[in-house]
Amino acid sequence: MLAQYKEEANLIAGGTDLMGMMKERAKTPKYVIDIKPISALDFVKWDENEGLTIGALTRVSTIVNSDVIKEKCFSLHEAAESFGTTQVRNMATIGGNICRSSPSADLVPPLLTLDAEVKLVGAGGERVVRLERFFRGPGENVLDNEILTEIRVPPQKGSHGTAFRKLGRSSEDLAKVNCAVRIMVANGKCKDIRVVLGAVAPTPIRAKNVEQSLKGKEINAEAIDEAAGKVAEDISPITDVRSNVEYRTYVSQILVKRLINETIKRLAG
Amino acid sequence: MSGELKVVGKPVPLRDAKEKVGGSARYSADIRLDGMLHAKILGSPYPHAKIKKIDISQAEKIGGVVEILTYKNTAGLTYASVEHKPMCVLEQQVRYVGEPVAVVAAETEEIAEEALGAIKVDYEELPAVFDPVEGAKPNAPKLYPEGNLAGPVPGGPLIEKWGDIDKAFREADVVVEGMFKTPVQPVTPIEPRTCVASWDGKELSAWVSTQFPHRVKEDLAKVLGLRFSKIRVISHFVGGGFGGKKQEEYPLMAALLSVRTNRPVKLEYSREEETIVGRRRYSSVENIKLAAKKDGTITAINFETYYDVGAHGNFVGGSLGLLVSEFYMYKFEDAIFKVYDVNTNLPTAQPFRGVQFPAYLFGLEQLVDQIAEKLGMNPIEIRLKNTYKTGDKMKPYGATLSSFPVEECLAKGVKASGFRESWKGWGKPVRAENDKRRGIGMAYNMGWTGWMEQYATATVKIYPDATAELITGAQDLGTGSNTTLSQVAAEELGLPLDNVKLTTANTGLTTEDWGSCGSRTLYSAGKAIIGAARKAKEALINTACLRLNAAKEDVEFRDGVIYVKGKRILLSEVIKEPVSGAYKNPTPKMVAPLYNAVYVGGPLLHVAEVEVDMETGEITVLRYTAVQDVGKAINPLVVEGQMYGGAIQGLGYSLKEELLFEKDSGKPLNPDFLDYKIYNFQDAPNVQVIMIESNEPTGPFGAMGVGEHCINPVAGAVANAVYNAIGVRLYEIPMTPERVLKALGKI
Amino acid sequence: MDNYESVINIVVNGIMHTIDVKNNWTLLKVLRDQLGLTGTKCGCDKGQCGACTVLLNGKPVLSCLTLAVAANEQEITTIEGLAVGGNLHPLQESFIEHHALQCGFCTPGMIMSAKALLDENPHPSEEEITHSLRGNLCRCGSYPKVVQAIQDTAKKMGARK
Repeated sequence: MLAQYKEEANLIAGGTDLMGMMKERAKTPKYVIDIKPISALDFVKWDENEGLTIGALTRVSTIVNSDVIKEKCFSLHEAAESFGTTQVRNMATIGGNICRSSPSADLVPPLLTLDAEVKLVGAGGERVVRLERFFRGPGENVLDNEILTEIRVPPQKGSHGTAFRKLGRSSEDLAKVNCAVRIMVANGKCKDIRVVLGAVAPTPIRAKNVEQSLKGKEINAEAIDEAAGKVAEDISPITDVRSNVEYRTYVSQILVKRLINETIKRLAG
Repeated sequence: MSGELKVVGKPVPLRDAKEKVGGSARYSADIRLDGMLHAKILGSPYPHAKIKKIDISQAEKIGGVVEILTYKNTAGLTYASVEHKPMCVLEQQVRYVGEPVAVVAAETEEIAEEALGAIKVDYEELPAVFDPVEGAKPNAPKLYPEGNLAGPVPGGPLIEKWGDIDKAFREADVVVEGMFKTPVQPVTPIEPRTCVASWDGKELSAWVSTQFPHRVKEDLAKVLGLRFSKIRVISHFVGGGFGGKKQEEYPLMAALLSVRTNRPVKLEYSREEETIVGRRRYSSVENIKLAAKKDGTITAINFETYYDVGAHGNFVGGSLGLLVSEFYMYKFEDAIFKVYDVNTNLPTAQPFRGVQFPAYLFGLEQLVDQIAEKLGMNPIEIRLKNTYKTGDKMKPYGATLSSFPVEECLAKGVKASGFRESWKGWGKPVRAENDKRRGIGMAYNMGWTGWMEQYATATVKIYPDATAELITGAQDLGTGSNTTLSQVAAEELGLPLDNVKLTTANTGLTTEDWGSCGSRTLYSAGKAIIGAARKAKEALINTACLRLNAAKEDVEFRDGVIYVKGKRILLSEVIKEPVSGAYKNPTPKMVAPLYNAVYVGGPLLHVAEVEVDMETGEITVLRYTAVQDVGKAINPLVVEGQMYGGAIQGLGYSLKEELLFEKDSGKPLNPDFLDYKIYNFQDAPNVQVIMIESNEPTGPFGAMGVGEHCINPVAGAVANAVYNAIGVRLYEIPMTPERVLKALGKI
Repeated sequence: MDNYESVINIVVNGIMHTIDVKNNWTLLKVLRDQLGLTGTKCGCDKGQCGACTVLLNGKPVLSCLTLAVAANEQEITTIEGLAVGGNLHPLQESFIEHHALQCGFCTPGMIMSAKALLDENPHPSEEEITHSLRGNLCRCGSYPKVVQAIQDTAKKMGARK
């Protein structure tokens, strides 16, 4: 149908993004294709070899309640729990959150820290894309008359800690800044680290300067401070109705520092 | 009559709670009438413009479009309210982004919306101004031929002064000053205002979300050219007003459309329209200076303030003409109050809960603390030293202060909040640990009640079966007055609450009332109800005397029964038809125009304890204590609800809420809940509310109104607590994390 | 041939309804306008205030963001469906008793959210209640009383078992 209707059609899953946009006339599709009934895309699977696979139509509430996600991917659980409201979590889907491609999408940073991939299916066939390559800009992605059907988080080699946090104007809000961290530690040194921030660039962004600063180094307060201090080089926040450039730049550093510390603590405890 | 109260003072459930929890409560938007049309508004895209041409011809051709209003076919239809400048139903000169330009009535909402898109308007853009200080300047773009100053003194500020202000500042031991800024705060009730108007060829019924049904009736009469008796405004359930739902354009639009189409018309605001075309609190720039002696006496205040009252507001939505006594806060020996109420090209302002006080106390209470700090006094001492006390004659007009237990109030607030235990002294946070700082602060306020007391009337009827009917025009907005006023009537009549039927919320059936605002309803309507009940009882006793051939002193009406010299006689044996009494409150004695000779109001103290994250700037309210003298809690549940509600709205004002506008276009940037954040369940801190019952002698069973004052001290208390935590003062609210980090010099 | 209308079958408060709808109508509109169930309120029509909350197959959702056609063959419970045989649901009784409402406009949505919470978690802590209900906004400030009402209901319903 997407191939048939192209720009005239939008997919609707939970509707928590699209309905609002249609009411504001930000999007005016002639055709709305309801994919919610495709129950085959509503699942959470764990496999030793494949890792964690989540169907695109899995509700955020299912993710909150999933024990396996809590165990294997705690930052994703945290992001889902802080997502929206109960009603929104019952309606919104992980696929919808990714495809909406908002720079402040909450579920995306944890997935990016875990090297997630997405499967895209179109009339012509299917392909797997690294999530890091999926986003093009605010509201823009690589979908080409395709449906995102599932998200796969590969099994992580070695013990790792994850954490997610967001800052907003109230307990329920779009993020001013959100951040996810994944760290692997060996012999007191940072073996591998991923730091991803949202709402501070046109897409959720990996803070590569932060990562490079800490990778391979001994984990201590100075090293963490120094690494967090590099975040300004990785981000390009804007001033909008929610916050301003100066604030976002400053707290990004604070958030990164605190989350790295939190992740280390979780690994130890 | 026994001294113990049977109904008043009891936590009875709301009389209309069952309908509300069951879903059968019909708010204006729930009214459905056969053949009802749906109306939609086209708003101006410009902040200031003149409509050169408006072409509705294409819109009219759309199938299902029945009638369209523009300024052309509503010319000359104006209405006046105390609370805004005279307004046309639709203006040719539009003065804010979103101001209604056309209203379409169509068979469905969809068709009406489609028609909006087909209306062609040519605008001549005019220069605009968005700031009250700029707007007050002589060369500012003018919204009105007479200029932008909308105060009670034409063309100028309102100035009130007494004593020798220059001398006071010259001889002061301490002078403190500050410039304080407060934001636009839309009322934001969860119910968007709605009107269903139905003209049947002879009479008009209008269901309106309003606090002022009788005034709306007058507006409708004027605009439609109808007699009052041909109009009834019905307002059984209103989803919150807080001062913002009074007299405005949407019922007039819906009614005009109904009259012109001979069909019922529903006009329901969207959330954005509720925020923009609905009403909001002024924004303000306050310049306040205080002078004090080293013994702690605050001798003088210099208060120069600009209030932005928006496109069609007047001083009532801003300074309120300094009524409700900013004067009375402390015993200022010398003072000058200079206030500018300025029209700007922003949505219209109207008094929102607390009127000038939330902004006033944000500034004043911080300066009072500053004086205390400089003099080495604590925050409690400085306030006790400077407040008025019961029986004082207050400047400038010599009004006498009625019952005012300020020592008790401050003592209770200090105790309940644990102030003395937490307070470590000036410049010392309550606690400092890692990145977190804890602080405690207080603010004091003087409540008020009885505004427009003489505009309250009531009728009470007593039926032969010992039931009664209370007929009152007082409007319940969720304030619980339907219940509390019924309690007052039941108590005065000596009947159980369930035996008192309430007839209200329909101007065709009730007596007059000014409208619900200014914490006047319980006090003013309550007094009228007591007066009416007494008259009804008197009429009953007179009838009993006649029919039973008894002397007046031998006859009693008690517990629904007549007693003649102790002998019990059923009411139905004495009267075969109802007896009634009607009452209108007399005008209270004035000491100056609009200033009562006896000032009725109670003290309040609020104490906030906050924790500030020094690296993210986030302020968490750990504990909030609100102590308020309510006179008498007619219904403690209702009073608690009001006190809590005021605290939460005040915290929103202090910490989160601000309607933002695009700098050059005046376009509102956050008119819906996505970006205009009001407190939700998780944000709301625990608020401890404590009532003092001082038994106000002039109040119905000792009661005073409570609904507004509970918001007044919040911003001041939180600001003082934040200062205690971080050592830096904030001069602008809301105190967002961004502003905190800026004040700390971190960004 | 483009189709802008559909026929849906929905069970509302236990009663099956077959309704002609336009494809772009929301469930909120159908409940209020076609079925006359005006207990569910429209506070913002954008899913931001929670006043339109209904239970869809037992789960609280925003009816203003749900297309009516998407509710086809589903079970919906609105505030009008809580009282059974004229008897109020314990939550409704508790709300009245604890004065957990003032203007009442947000109340139906709030009660539906509360019911769903208690169905899933019969003894929620205060934290669980505030987190679960944060999507139901109240401007009158009834939050603490609502928490009390829900906790009290949990106690009463637990005692009945």
